[in-house]
Amino acid sequence: MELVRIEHLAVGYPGEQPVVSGIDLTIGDRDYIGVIGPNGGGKTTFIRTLVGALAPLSGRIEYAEGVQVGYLPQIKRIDRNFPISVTDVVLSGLAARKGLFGRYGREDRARARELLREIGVESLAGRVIGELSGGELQRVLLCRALISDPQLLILDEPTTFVDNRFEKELYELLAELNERMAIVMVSHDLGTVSRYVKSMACINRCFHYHPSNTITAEQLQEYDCPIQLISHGPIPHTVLSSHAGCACCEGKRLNTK
Amino acid sequence: MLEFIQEIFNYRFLGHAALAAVLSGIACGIVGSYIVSRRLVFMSGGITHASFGGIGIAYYLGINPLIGALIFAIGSAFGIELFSRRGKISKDAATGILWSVGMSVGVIFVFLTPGYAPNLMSFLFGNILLVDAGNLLWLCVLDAVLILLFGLCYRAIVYTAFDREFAATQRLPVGVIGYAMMTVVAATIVLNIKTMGIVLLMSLLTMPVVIAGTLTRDYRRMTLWACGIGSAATLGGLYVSYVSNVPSGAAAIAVLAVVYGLARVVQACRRSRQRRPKAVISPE
Repeated sequence: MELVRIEHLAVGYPGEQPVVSGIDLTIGDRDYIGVIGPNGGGKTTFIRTLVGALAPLSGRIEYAEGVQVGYLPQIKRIDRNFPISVTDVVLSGLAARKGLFGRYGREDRARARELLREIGVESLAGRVIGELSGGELQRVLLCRALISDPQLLILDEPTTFVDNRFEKELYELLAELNERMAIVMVSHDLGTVSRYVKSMACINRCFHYHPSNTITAEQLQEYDCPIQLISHGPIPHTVLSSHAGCACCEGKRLNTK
Repeated sequence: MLEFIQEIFNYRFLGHAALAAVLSGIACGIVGSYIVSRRLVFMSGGITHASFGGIGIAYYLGINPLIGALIFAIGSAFGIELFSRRGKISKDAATGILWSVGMSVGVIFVFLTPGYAPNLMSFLFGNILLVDAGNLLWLCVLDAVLILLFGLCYRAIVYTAFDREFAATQRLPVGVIGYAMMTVVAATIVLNIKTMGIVLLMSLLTMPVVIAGTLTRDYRRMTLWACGIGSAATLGGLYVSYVSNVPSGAAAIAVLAVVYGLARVVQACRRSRQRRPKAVISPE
């Protein structure tokens, strides 16, 4: 089933040159798309347009009837001094359903608590967000994204500020969630992302969709997408592009498979 | 104190002042929680001072100064929003410009007004004893609108204030909520000028909220505490003014400053008690 169709989309800020243009993409049921690209390439601008926080400069985004979207923004956008409790943050994920005058009942609160328990942060329910660590806040924001039982989950760098253990747990949880919802995830970490996602999109002022989870250095070069490459193997390690005048690079070829 | 309470019932002007103190405290508590949480204090200061331009022009034209102040306050609130969104100018620079331009326009028109120059001091520092039945009615309407607005749309307002972008993705009308809130902020400022004055009003909008913040970090409870603290402090200021013959607005802020100092001491004691390790009694 087709959830979102994006045609000839250009994204950016009103009155300015487009940050990214020529975006054509169809997001289907249970897709899992990793969005990669360098800083300043336009990943977040694309995501903000996709979720409706920014208006498209041209082109169109068409959502299928009744599609619920869960959104986890970059944690740095959150004002952590705002006096709001963890439960209220999670409940705000129901605002689309409740509308301007909506009442939030006991069952909504119970659902919020249940989600917090599933994500392993039930003990934080009564706390205010200013008391949370970065990782705890990230989990709370994930609960907010999930409370509306979305068909499409959009995550913008969800592993910022989280420790390695939660990062692994998060990717496993996302793989589980992908059995019932489509996921679009922005990340810097190509190596980890490519292990979990089904397809990839490179954004660096232009948009390239790559319908598989492996991507080669040559393809990245072709896409003009200068990001750090990480190879897969039993021991996690980073492989940097070869550079001249370095003994360790002599005679070695870059392999990202 | 008993004598003061008796006189509130005996003298109409004192009764009006006491009622105005409570109504101002409630309005400033509700709006203050919003502006402090959203870090709009400087911008609200700009709107407050810019409204003086409207007062000056209204005097010059011979119309009700509060109407002039209201037009200027709402205009500058929307102007700051518009300037910073469309122009190449930052929100705080736009606020700074409107702040001083509004004041200068006010001063120019007050001095250009022929005949008796109005008492500028009462606008700058307020005089709660001059509140009449008409002012009280407007304050009642303001409080009713604020209570109704927050009663009906509390979560939509707070969720938009906390994370506007996420609220937009939830299809909440964030633009309408933003402009509606700026309108009530401007209206609250203008209708409380008589009580606290342009210069002192920012304290009534911020200090009760900051004091409430030492007691709770939950928005709803913070607002309720701020309404109570603001009303009590303004009444306290009125009492101090009655006893010692000092201006009531300044006295209210002095009361708030003392309460804030006490609240911080209590908070520090509570924290040090929480940090202190519990004594372990050795079996020997």
